[in-house]
Amino acid sequence: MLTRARDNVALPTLVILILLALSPLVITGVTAQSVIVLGMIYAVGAVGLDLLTGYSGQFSFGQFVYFATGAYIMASLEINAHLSWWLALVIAVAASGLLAALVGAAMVRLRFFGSAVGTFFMGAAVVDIISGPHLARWTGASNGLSVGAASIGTESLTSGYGLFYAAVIGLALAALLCVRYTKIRAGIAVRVIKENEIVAAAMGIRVFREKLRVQTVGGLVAGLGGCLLALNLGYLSPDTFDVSQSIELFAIVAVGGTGSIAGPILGALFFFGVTNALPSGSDSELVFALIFLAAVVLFNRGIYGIGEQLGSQGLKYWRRFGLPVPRRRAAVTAGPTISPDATLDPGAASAESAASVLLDSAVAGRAGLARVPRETGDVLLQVRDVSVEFGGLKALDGISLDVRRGEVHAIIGPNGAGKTTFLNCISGIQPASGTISLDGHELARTPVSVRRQLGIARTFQHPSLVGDLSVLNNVQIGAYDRHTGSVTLELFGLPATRKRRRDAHDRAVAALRNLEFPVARWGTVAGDISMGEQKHVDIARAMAGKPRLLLLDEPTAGLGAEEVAAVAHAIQVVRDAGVTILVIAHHVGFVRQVADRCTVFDFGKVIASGTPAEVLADRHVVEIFVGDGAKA
Amino acid sequence: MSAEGLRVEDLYVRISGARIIEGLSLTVEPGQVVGLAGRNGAGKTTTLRAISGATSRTAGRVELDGHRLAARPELVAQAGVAHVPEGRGIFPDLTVDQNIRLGMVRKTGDPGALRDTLDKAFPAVARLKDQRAGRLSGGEQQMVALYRGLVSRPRILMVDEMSLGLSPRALSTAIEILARVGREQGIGILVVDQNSRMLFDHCDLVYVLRDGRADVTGNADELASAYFT
Amino acid sequence: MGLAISVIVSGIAFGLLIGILAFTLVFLYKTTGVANFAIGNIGMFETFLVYELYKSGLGIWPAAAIGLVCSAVFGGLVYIVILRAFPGGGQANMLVRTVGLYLLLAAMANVFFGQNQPYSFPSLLPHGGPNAGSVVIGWSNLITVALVLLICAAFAAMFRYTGTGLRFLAVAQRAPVARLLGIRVQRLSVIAYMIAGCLALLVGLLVAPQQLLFSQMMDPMLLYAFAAAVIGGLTSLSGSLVGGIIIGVVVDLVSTYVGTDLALAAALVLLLLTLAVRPNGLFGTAQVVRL
Repeated sequence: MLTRARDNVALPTLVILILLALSPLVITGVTAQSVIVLGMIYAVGAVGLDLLTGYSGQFSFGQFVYFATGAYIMASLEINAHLSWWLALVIAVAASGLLAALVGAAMVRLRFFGSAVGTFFMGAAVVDIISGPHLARWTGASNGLSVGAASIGTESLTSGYGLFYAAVIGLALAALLCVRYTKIRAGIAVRVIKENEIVAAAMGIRVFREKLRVQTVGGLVAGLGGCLLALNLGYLSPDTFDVSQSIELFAIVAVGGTGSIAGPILGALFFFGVTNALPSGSDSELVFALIFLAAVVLFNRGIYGIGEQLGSQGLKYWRRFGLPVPRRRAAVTAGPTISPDATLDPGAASAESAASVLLDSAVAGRAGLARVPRETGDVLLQVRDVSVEFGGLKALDGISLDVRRGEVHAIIGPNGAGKTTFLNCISGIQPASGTISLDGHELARTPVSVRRQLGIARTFQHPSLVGDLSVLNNVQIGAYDRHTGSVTLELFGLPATRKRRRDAHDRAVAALRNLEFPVARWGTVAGDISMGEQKHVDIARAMAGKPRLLLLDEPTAGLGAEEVAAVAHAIQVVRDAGVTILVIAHHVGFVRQVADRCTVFDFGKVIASGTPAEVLADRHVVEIFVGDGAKA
Repeated sequence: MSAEGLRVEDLYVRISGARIIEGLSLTVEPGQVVGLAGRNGAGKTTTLRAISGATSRTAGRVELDGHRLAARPELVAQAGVAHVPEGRGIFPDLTVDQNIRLGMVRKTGDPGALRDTLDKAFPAVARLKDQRAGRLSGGEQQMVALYRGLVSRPRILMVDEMSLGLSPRALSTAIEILARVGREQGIGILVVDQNSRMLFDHCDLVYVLRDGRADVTGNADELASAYFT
Repeated sequence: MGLAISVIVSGIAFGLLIGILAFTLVFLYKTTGVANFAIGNIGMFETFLVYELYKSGLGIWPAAAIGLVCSAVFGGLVYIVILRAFPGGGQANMLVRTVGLYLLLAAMANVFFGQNQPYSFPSLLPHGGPNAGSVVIGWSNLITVALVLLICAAFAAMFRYTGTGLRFLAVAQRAPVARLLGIRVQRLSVIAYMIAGCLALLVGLLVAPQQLLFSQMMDPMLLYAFAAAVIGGLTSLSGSLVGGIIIGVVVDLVSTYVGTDLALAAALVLLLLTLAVRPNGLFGTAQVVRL
């Protein structure tokens, strides 16, 4: 259902907006124009819902509630507080955003099924409350509320061209806000969250906060949509905001194509086009429901996806006839003409990039290859008496060990010995008893995302890269040293945030280069690279944050011999850069090659510890692997 | 070499790009007890799952008595390949008897006689018929899982990691009974385990899974080198 | 006082109806792995079909009987056409399909039957009832309770004594192991959906007389059923019924003493509270999360 989110949606969105703005030149019928207006108004909310669902993976079947709050608050403030329309509108939009934040705070903690049901519930409950007696003073209950007139100068905004262009401007604001959001750090962070929340947290992303931010944006734009709807209708009644409208809004996004911002705009226009084309309201409902079902079952990339396919077919024919094609994405060459921006566009190669060349090498020199003595001997990570119990079964039973600064320390042991559970305790995903200290600092109360700031980075057995982002972007999102700061500033692209972005970019480039990941593949989308490459990129992503301690979870699982050698080499590089490494491996030969010391786990206990040679010569250890029958 | 029994030819399994099984072949004849050893992460469990179809096969043939087996667990079980999964797969909230009844998927010969045989072979299980399966010890649950696997009178019974959580005595008892019943009833047994000493002690033949392929091995030294390189 | 007790009594009966719908949801979820948003509208649509039969001259009882048979078929068809076709979309995709079905059934009801809705629907249960002092206990309430208990007994018997019932339990507990044992999970899913179709119709037939028959008649029931299922812990028949009773009583009390506009909100609050305080509901077992 949740298809790949697209990266370069600014251009299609702009094109659609321009076409819409120019459409009255071509489409002159009043009915047709009113259909387009309604489509645009719903699209205002749909683009926000796409950001919420398509980009950050959160379901909402109650989004139309914010249309209701926007509409009713604006109308009510005009009538009861005698505010001018634009002030009422601003307050209504802000209030909708605030409400979305509050509701989101509750829904965000639920799994997707819980939030699906919860938001649907909310949609229904709110309509009931609006039409009931308790808020009647402000809502007019089932009698409804009339909306005050609004105008700019002599142009009325409630009908004619005034309304049309108010809708265009509203949609432009909403759509461009959402498009911009997908480009900033926060927008990429939520795509990691959509992929895998735990991996996101381990990278330092504040999962709850980022999800909440997207909820707020969704609420803001939906509130704006509601205000426009109020201007359009002139009169509000609770039926207009029925829970089925929320489901229709979701269907609009799905049919338009999730994860594309532009797609839902098309979806909304399509929906109202269909509705208007058929004589009876119920018939159009039926047709649209069938289209929605067909889209979900058969072709879930929506109208936008159809457009993409037609576009790429067209491009194929175009090329076949030998016609020139403007190159949108250059293969990345050895020279770093990589713009600081998210996409790799040779058009942006400029003085800025030239300067970044020099910066790259300087950064590479600093971050990359500082030589550090083999073993300083002091303890970086101290683990004392750590235990974890799952329903009566002790996954870890009093583990104590030391990881020395600068060493490569391997953990080996049979299946079920507790190795991954141990790593999860260190990264904070698994609560445990006992103490774990990093450089003397006890980690017990530190949440997962903060451990990254303390210098603990980790890779996962399943790398969970964001499939629709390039390799470079995947590493870059892991390179931010902190994921805090104001989203509003990010949206406006102020110098401070741009510098932060550039630093992350530079670190990402340095990490990929140090780990010798082929430059030609940096622009490839992560969903298209092999498992071995994914694991390589995962290490780069962890390294880009310049950690002190790197936790590697089964880096060689599922890899062929050459890929294993590449990983071994990567570990050497990381170690030479002064990072301490704790690696879980099944592949004992690999461990012999890369590890300075190793610890053997069995049944949640430490069995032996020492250099690989020592440990593997121990008869007890050998028997644990080969079997001795004494597995009590 | 008759066409009877389980034959796996040139099996390949790749999951999300990870290459786990790369050209594995093995055979299990009726009445034969075969072991599959290998370091963990080697793909032993994946092999069994690919045979029964719980995991999809990227390439390769799996045949039972000369007939090709599609990678669908329900059909494979109906055809006569029983799979006792890692962790035993007992339904904890059902009684032992209910668990056993769930194993009786195939309509074969005389179920009564078979159950008598099994009751004699697994006296502990017969005693615990009405107990909730979740309350049993690991060893008892393993017996129930084996009983359930055998009660469908399969042609082949595959057992995954039966040593996990078992005391040495319980383990040797279980595998002895299993091997005996298998040989008597002409059922081919395929045992996968980390505990290769157990496999050497009880199996007619032991394969080692290394680099995604299976080779027949004769002794523990070859095995050790498979684990440590 | 008498009013309060009457409200509680009718709340219990209402709650048992919610519980049946909740149980249907849980039953389907445990068998197929998909939470079905459309289960309410399935019942609504089937009730409309019964209404059409009734309008064409059949008595309400024969119409209901035929309707029950058709519902079994309809339920099975829903599974085969909507859920089993083109598998492999993932859980989210399946959920959204049921949402699409929800929309489709509402639209179909509006187009085919809905010109003059809402319709008044004849009650299958007698009116009136005995009094106990100032407390009124309707026959319909009593019969509803009896009916629900009967259904529970039937299910308990099926689970305990039949092979199919045993296989349902197996799939509900450990679906992958059940498949390894050779249990035909897809076939069971069809049967589950046929049963669900009948249960949904039953709930619809009992709701329609009170709420009037219209295409959105089951929307509140669906929501109450979700809340009841969550409170019950998404595990068992008894859990769903207890959850249903709690929701039913609270909703009735809130409707009577505070206002009908806050009934849904009250149920939502209960749902959120449960998820916040005891996420596994009253009877659910904590899921051991292995990372």
